[in-house]
Amino acid sequence: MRELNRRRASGSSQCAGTDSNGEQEQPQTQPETPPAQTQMDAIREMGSPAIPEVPSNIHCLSIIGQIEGHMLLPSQNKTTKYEHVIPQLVAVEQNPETEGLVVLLNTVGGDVEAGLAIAEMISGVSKPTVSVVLGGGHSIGIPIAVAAERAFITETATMTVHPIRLSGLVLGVPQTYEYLDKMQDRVVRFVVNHSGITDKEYRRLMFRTGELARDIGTVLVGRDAVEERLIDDVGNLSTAMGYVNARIDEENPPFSKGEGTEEEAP
Amino acid sequence: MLWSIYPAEVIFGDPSATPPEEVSVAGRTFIVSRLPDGGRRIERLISSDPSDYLRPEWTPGKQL
Repeated sequence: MRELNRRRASGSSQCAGTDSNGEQEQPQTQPETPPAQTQMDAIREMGSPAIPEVPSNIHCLSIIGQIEGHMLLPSQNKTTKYEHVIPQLVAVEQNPETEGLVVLLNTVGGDVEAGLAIAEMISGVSKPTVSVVLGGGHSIGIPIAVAAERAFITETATMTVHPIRLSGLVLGVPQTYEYLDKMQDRVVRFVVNHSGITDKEYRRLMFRTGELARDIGTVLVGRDAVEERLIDDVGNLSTAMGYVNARIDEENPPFSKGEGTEEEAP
Repeated sequence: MLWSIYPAEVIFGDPSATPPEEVSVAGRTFIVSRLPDGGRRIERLISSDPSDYLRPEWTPGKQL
Protein backbone atom coordinates (compact mmCIF):
# COMPACT_ATOMS: atom_id res chain seq x y z
CA MET A 1 0.00 0.00 0.00
CA ARG A 2 2.79 2.40 0.91
CA GLU A 3 4.54 1.22 -2.22
CA LEU A 4 1.50 2.14 -4.32
CA ASN A 5 1.23 5.59 -2.73
CA ARG A 6 4.90 6.19 -3.24
CA ARG A 7 4.66 5.31 -6.91
CA ARG A 8 1.63 7.55 -7.37
CA ALA A 9 3.31 10.40 -5.57
CA SER A 10 6.29 10.10 -7.88
CA GLY A 11 3.90 10.74 -10.74
CA SER A 12 4.80 7.68 -12.76
CA SER A 13 1.97 5.87 -14.49
CA GLN A 14 1.37 2.22 -13.62
CA CYS A 15 0.02 1.11 -16.95
CA ALA A 16 2.21 -0.14 -19.73
CA GLY A 17 2.93 2.23 -22.54
CA THR A 18 1.68 5.39 -20.83
CA ASP A 19 4.94 6.59 -19.39
CA SER A 20 4.86 10.09 -20.80
CA ASN A 21 8.23 11.22 -19.45
CA GLY A 22 9.91 8.41 -21.33
CA GLU A 23 11.58 6.89 -18.29
CA GLN A 24 11.66 3.12 -18.02
CA GLU A 25 11.55 1.53 -14.59
CA GLN A 26 13.93 -1.32 -14.06
CA PRO A 27 12.24 -4.67 -13.34
CA GLN A 28 11.88 -5.35 -9.60
CA THR A 29 12.09 -9.11 -9.93
CA GLN A 30 14.07 -11.16 -12.35
CA PRO A 31 12.19 -13.78 -14.38
CA GLU A 32 13.23 -17.41 -13.85
CA THR A 33 14.64 -17.75 -17.37
CA PRO A 34 17.97 -16.03 -18.04
CA PRO A 35 17.34 -12.55 -19.52
CA ALA A 36 19.47 -13.22 -22.58
CA GLN A 37 17.50 -16.36 -23.44
CA THR A 38 14.18 -14.59 -22.77
CA GLN A 39 15.18 -11.79 -25.10
CA MET A 40 16.14 -14.29 -27.79
CA ASP A 41 12.83 -16.18 -27.38
CA ALA A 42 10.82 -12.98 -27.56
CA ILE A 43 12.63 -11.84 -30.66
CA ARG A 44 12.26 -15.25 -32.31
CA GLU A 45 8.57 -15.77 -31.41
CA MET A 46 7.14 -12.28 -31.58
CA GLY A 47 9.74 -10.17 -33.36
CA SER A 48 10.01 -7.93 -30.33
CA PRO A 49 12.25 -7.77 -27.27
CA ALA A 50 10.81 -8.39 -23.78
CA ILE A 51 9.60 -5.38 -21.81
CA PRO A 52 10.44 -4.98 -18.11
CA GLU A 53 7.71 -5.93 -15.65
CA VAL A 54 5.87 -3.09 -13.89
CA PRO A 55 3.31 -3.76 -11.14
CA SER A 56 -0.09 -2.18 -11.68
CA ASN A 57 -2.69 -0.61 -9.41
CA ILE A 58 -5.02 0.09 -12.32
CA HIS A 59 -6.57 -2.94 -13.92
CA CYS A 60 -7.57 -3.13 -17.52
CA LEU A 61 -10.45 -4.99 -19.13
CA SER A 62 -10.47 -5.37 -22.87
CA ILE A 63 -13.82 -6.11 -24.48
CA ILE A 64 -12.98 -7.44 -27.93
CA GLY A 65 -14.80 -9.14 -30.79
CA GLN A 66 -18.21 -10.64 -30.07
CA ILE A 67 -19.56 -10.56 -26.53
CA GLU A 68 -20.32 -14.19 -25.79
CA GLY A 69 -23.10 -15.08 -23.39
CA HIS A 70 -25.42 -18.03 -23.07
CA MET A 71 -24.34 -19.60 -26.33
CA LEU A 72 -20.85 -20.71 -27.37
CA LEU A 73 -20.07 -19.10 -30.72
CA PRO A 74 -18.18 -20.95 -33.47
CA SER A 75 -14.46 -20.58 -32.93
CA GLN A 76 -13.77 -18.38 -35.95
CA ASN A 77 -15.32 -15.59 -33.86
CA LYS A 78 -13.01 -13.69 -31.59
CA THR A 79 -15.01 -13.38 -28.38
CA THR A 80 -15.08 -11.86 -24.93
CA LYS A 81 -16.69 -14.36 -22.63
CA TYR A 82 -19.06 -13.46 -19.83
CA GLU A 83 -17.49 -16.08 -17.55
CA HIS A 84 -14.05 -14.46 -17.94
CA VAL A 85 -15.13 -10.87 -17.45
CA ILE A 86 -17.55 -11.11 -14.53
CA PRO A 87 -15.06 -12.72 -12.08
CA GLN A 88 -12.40 -10.20 -13.15
CA LEU A 89 -14.78 -7.38 -12.24
CA VAL A 90 -15.46 -8.98 -8.87
CA ALA A 91 -11.68 -9.24 -8.32
CA VAL A 92 -11.20 -5.58 -9.26
CA GLU A 93 -13.84 -4.55 -6.73
CA GLN A 94 -12.57 -6.86 -4.03
CA ASN A 95 -8.77 -6.51 -4.30
CA PRO A 96 -7.53 -3.63 -2.09
CA GLU A 97 -4.43 -3.19 -4.28
CA THR A 98 -6.55 -2.45 -7.34
CA GLU A 99 -7.49 1.22 -7.26
CA GLY A 100 -9.03 1.84 -10.65
CA LEU A 101 -10.35 0.19 -13.80
CA VAL A 102 -9.88 1.01 -17.46
CA VAL A 103 -12.26 -0.66 -19.93
CA LEU A 104 -11.02 -0.79 -23.52
CA LEU A 105 -13.66 -1.56 -26.12
CA ASN A 106 -13.28 -2.84 -29.63
CA THR A 107 -16.43 -4.89 -30.04
CA VAL A 108 -18.93 -5.62 -32.80
CA GLY A 109 -21.71 -6.40 -30.32
CA GLY A 110 -23.01 -9.77 -29.24
CA ASP A 111 -25.24 -11.32 -26.61
CA VAL A 112 -27.67 -8.74 -25.20
CA GLU A 113 -27.97 -10.23 -21.73
CA ALA A 114 -24.24 -10.85 -21.31
CA GLY A 115 -23.52 -7.31 -22.53
CA LEU A 116 -26.02 -5.81 -20.13
CA ALA A 117 -24.63 -7.93 -17.29
CA ILE A 118 -21.09 -6.69 -17.97
CA ALA A 119 -22.39 -3.11 -18.21
CA GLU A 120 -24.22 -3.43 -14.89
CA MET A 121 -21.12 -4.91 -13.26
CA ILE A 122 -18.91 -2.05 -14.49
CA SER A 123 -21.39 0.55 -13.28
CA GLY A 124 -21.47 -1.29 -9.94
CA VAL A 125 -17.71 -1.01 -9.34
CA SER A 126 -17.15 1.48 -6.51
CA LYS A 127 -13.60 2.35 -7.63
CA PRO A 128 -12.86 4.92 -10.36
CA THR A 129 -13.76 3.48 -13.77
CA VAL A 130 -13.16 4.80 -17.26
CA SER A 131 -13.88 3.42 -20.71
CA VAL A 132 -12.23 4.06 -24.05
CA VAL A 133 -13.89 3.10 -27.33
CA LEU A 134 -11.12 2.12 -29.76
CA GLY A 135 -11.89 0.96 -33.26
CA GLY A 136 -15.53 0.14 -32.64
CA GLY A 137 -18.07 -0.06 -29.87
CA HIS A 138 -21.22 -1.18 -31.64
CA SER A 139 -24.67 -2.43 -30.65
CA ILE A 140 -24.43 -3.95 -27.15
CA GLY A 141 -20.97 -2.37 -26.82
CA ILE A 142 -22.70 0.99 -26.27
CA PRO A 143 -24.16 0.20 -22.82
CA ILE A 144 -20.75 -1.19 -21.79
CA ALA A 145 -19.00 2.01 -22.93
CA VAL A 146 -21.38 4.31 -21.06
CA ALA A 147 -21.37 2.13 -17.91
CA ALA A 148 -18.02 3.50 -16.75
CA GLU A 149 -17.85 6.65 -14.65
CA ARG A 150 -16.41 8.51 -17.62
CA ALA A 151 -16.43 7.37 -21.24
CA PHE A 152 -13.94 8.38 -23.91
CA ILE A 153 -13.85 7.66 -27.62
CA THR A 154 -10.86 7.98 -29.93
CA GLU A 155 -11.14 10.26 -32.97
CA THR A 156 -11.28 7.31 -35.35
CA ALA A 157 -13.53 4.93 -33.39
CA THR A 158 -17.09 4.27 -34.50
CA MET A 159 -20.28 3.31 -32.70
CA THR A 160 -23.27 1.85 -34.54
CA VAL A 161 -26.60 2.65 -32.91
CA HIS A 162 -29.19 0.31 -34.40
CA PRO A 163 -32.21 -1.69 -33.21
CA ILE A 164 -32.08 -5.14 -31.62
CA ARG A 165 -33.16 -7.89 -34.00
CA LEU A 166 -34.04 -11.57 -33.81
CA SER A 167 -32.26 -14.11 -35.97
CA GLY A 168 -33.16 -17.72 -36.69
CA LEU A 169 -36.69 -19.13 -36.41
CA VAL A 170 -39.05 -16.37 -35.33
CA LEU A 171 -42.71 -16.87 -34.49
CA GLY A 172 -44.68 -14.25 -36.36
CA VAL A 173 -47.00 -13.38 -33.50
CA PRO A 174 -47.61 -10.03 -31.75
CA GLN A 175 -45.88 -11.34 -28.60
CA THR A 176 -42.59 -11.57 -30.52
CA TYR A 177 -42.69 -7.84 -31.23
CA GLU A 178 -43.65 -7.04 -27.66
CA TYR A 179 -40.72 -9.11 -26.40
CA LEU A 180 -38.37 -7.36 -28.81
CA ASP A 181 -39.68 -4.01 -27.62
CA LYS A 182 -39.03 -4.98 -24.00
CA MET A 183 -35.45 -6.03 -24.79
CA GLN A 184 -34.95 -2.77 -26.66
CA ASP A 185 -36.30 -0.76 -23.72
CA ARG A 186 -33.87 -2.43 -21.30
CA VAL A 187 -30.91 -1.31 -23.38
CA VAL A 188 -32.24 2.18 -24.11
CA ARG A 189 -33.04 2.76 -20.43
CA PHE A 190 -29.53 1.74 -19.37
CA VAL A 191 -27.86 3.98 -21.97
CA VAL A 192 -30.09 6.97 -21.12
CA ASN A 193 -29.43 6.52 -17.38
CA HIS A 194 -25.65 6.33 -17.82
CA SER A 195 -25.02 8.99 -20.46
CA GLY A 196 -26.22 12.46 -21.41
CA ILE A 197 -28.41 11.37 -24.33
CA THR A 198 -32.22 11.44 -24.02
CA ASP A 199 -34.53 8.53 -24.75
CA LYS A 200 -36.00 10.38 -27.73
CA GLU A 201 -32.60 11.25 -29.23
CA TYR A 202 -31.27 7.72 -28.80
CA ARG A 203 -34.30 6.23 -30.55
CA ARG A 204 -33.98 8.82 -33.31
CA LEU A 205 -30.41 7.63 -33.97
CA MET A 206 -31.50 4.01 -33.72
CA PHE A 207 -34.30 4.21 -36.28
CA ARG A 208 -32.69 6.57 -38.77
CA THR A 209 -32.96 5.33 -42.35
CA GLY A 210 -30.67 5.93 -45.31
CA GLU A 211 -27.37 5.78 -43.47
CA LEU A 212 -26.60 2.06 -43.31
CA ALA A 213 -26.68 -0.21 -46.36
CA ARG A 214 -28.02 -3.35 -44.65
CA ASP A 215 -29.72 -1.89 -41.64
CA ILE A 216 -31.41 1.12 -40.14
CA GLY A 217 -29.56 3.19 -37.56
CA THR A 218 -26.64 5.60 -37.30
CA VAL A 219 -22.87 5.30 -37.33
CA LEU A 220 -21.26 7.78 -34.96
CA VAL A 221 -17.58 8.49 -35.66
CA GLY A 222 -15.44 9.77 -32.76
CA ARG A 223 -16.61 13.30 -32.05
CA ASP A 224 -20.17 12.57 -33.31
CA ALA A 225 -20.72 10.34 -30.26
CA VAL A 226 -19.63 13.21 -28.01
CA GLU A 227 -21.88 15.70 -29.81
CA GLU A 228 -24.83 13.34 -29.36
CA ARG A 229 -23.86 13.25 -25.64
CA LEU A 230 -23.56 9.48 -25.73
CA ILE A 231 -19.86 9.62 -24.80
CA ASP A 232 -18.34 12.19 -22.44
CA ASP A 233 -15.29 13.23 -24.44
CA VAL A 234 -12.85 12.43 -27.22
CA GLY A 235 -9.75 10.90 -25.70
CA ASN A 236 -7.18 8.16 -25.81
CA LEU A 237 -5.30 5.91 -23.42
CA SER A 238 -3.38 8.68 -21.69
CA THR A 239 -6.55 10.76 -21.27
CA ALA A 240 -8.27 7.78 -19.66
CA MET A 241 -5.30 6.92 -17.43
CA GLY A 242 -5.02 10.57 -16.43
CA TYR A 243 -8.68 10.59 -15.43
CA VAL A 244 -8.40 7.43 -13.33
CA ASN A 245 -5.20 8.60 -11.64
CA ALA A 246 -6.79 11.97 -10.81
CA ARG A 247 -9.85 10.22 -9.37
CA ILE A 248 -7.66 7.87 -7.31
CA ASP A 249 -5.81 10.87 -5.90
CA GLU A 250 -9.16 12.47 -5.08
CA GLU A 251 -10.14 9.43 -3.07
CA ASN A 252 -7.18 9.89 -0.74
CA PRO A 253 -6.69 8.00 1.52
CA PRO A 254 -7.30 5.33 -1.13
CA PHE A 255 -8.73 2.59 1.08
CA SER A 256 -11.39 4.52 3.01
CA LYS A 257 -14.33 2.92 1.24
CA GLY A 258 -17.34 2.34 3.48
CA GLU A 259 -16.31 5.26 5.70
CA GLY A 260 -18.48 7.97 4.29
CA THR A 261 -18.05 7.61 0.53
CA GLU A 262 -21.80 8.22 0.16
CA GLU A 263 -21.53 11.67 1.73
CA GLU A 264 -18.61 12.56 -0.52
CA ALA A 265 -20.62 11.86 -3.65
CA PRO A 266 -21.75 15.05 -5.37
CA MET B 1 -30.28 -13.01 -28.31
CA LEU B 2 -27.44 -11.66 -30.43
CA TRP B 3 -27.21 -7.99 -31.27
CA SER B 4 -24.26 -7.31 -33.50
CA ILE B 5 -23.24 -5.40 -36.60
CA TYR B 6 -22.17 -8.74 -38.09
CA PRO B 7 -24.87 -10.73 -39.87
CA ALA B 8 -25.83 -14.09 -38.35
CA GLU B 9 -24.44 -16.03 -41.33
CA VAL B 10 -20.98 -14.59 -40.66
CA ILE B 11 -21.14 -15.35 -36.94
CA PHE B 12 -22.44 -18.90 -37.39
CA GLY B 13 -20.57 -19.56 -40.63
CA ASP B 14 -18.26 -22.42 -39.69
CA PRO B 15 -19.50 -24.51 -36.75
CA SER B 16 -17.02 -27.29 -37.54
CA ALA B 17 -13.94 -25.37 -36.32
CA THR B 18 -12.57 -26.81 -33.07
CA PRO B 19 -12.99 -24.61 -30.02
CA PRO B 20 -9.75 -23.35 -28.46
CA GLU B 21 -8.46 -24.97 -25.30
CA GLU B 22 -8.52 -22.99 -22.09
CA VAL B 23 -6.09 -23.66 -19.24
CA SER B 24 -5.45 -22.01 -15.90
CA VAL B 25 -1.85 -21.40 -14.80
CA ALA B 26 -0.86 -19.40 -11.69
CA GLY B 27 -4.43 -18.16 -11.36
CA ARG B 28 -4.51 -16.72 -14.89
CA THR B 29 -6.52 -18.05 -17.77
CA PHE B 30 -4.77 -18.86 -21.03
CA ILE B 31 -6.18 -19.79 -24.41
CA VAL B 32 -3.73 -22.33 -25.82
CA SER B 33 -3.25 -24.39 -28.94
CA ARG B 34 -1.77 -27.89 -28.93
CA LEU B 35 1.56 -28.48 -30.60
CA PRO B 36 2.35 -31.75 -32.42
CA ASP B 37 4.56 -32.81 -29.49
CA GLY B 38 1.71 -32.29 -27.02
CA GLY B 39 3.02 -28.94 -25.76
CA ARG B 40 0.74 -25.96 -25.15
CA ARG B 41 1.41 -22.77 -27.06
CA ILE B 42 -0.08 -19.55 -25.65
CA GLU B 43 -2.53 -17.90 -28.03
CA ARG B 44 -4.04 -15.43 -25.62
CA LEU B 45 -3.76 -14.45 -21.96
CA ILE B 46 -6.91 -13.41 -20.15
CA SER B 47 -6.14 -11.16 -17.20
CA SER B 48 -7.21 -7.74 -16.01
CA ASP B 49 -3.72 -6.97 -14.63
CA PRO B 50 -1.78 -5.10 -17.34
CA SER B 51 1.56 -6.18 -15.84
CA ASP B 52 0.72 -9.83 -16.60
CA TYR B 53 0.97 -8.98 -20.30
CA LEU B 54 4.53 -7.76 -19.80
CA ARG B 55 5.75 -11.05 -18.36
CA PRO B 56 8.01 -12.48 -21.06
CA GLU B 57 7.11 -16.09 -20.25
CA TRP B 58 3.42 -15.33 -20.82
CA THR B 59 3.63 -13.62 -24.19
CA PRO B 60 1.69 -15.23 -27.05
CA GLY B 61 3.79 -17.76 -28.91
CA LYS B 62 5.51 -19.04 -25.76
CA GLN B 63 4.98 -22.57 -24.51
CA LEU B 64 3.37 -23.10 -21.13
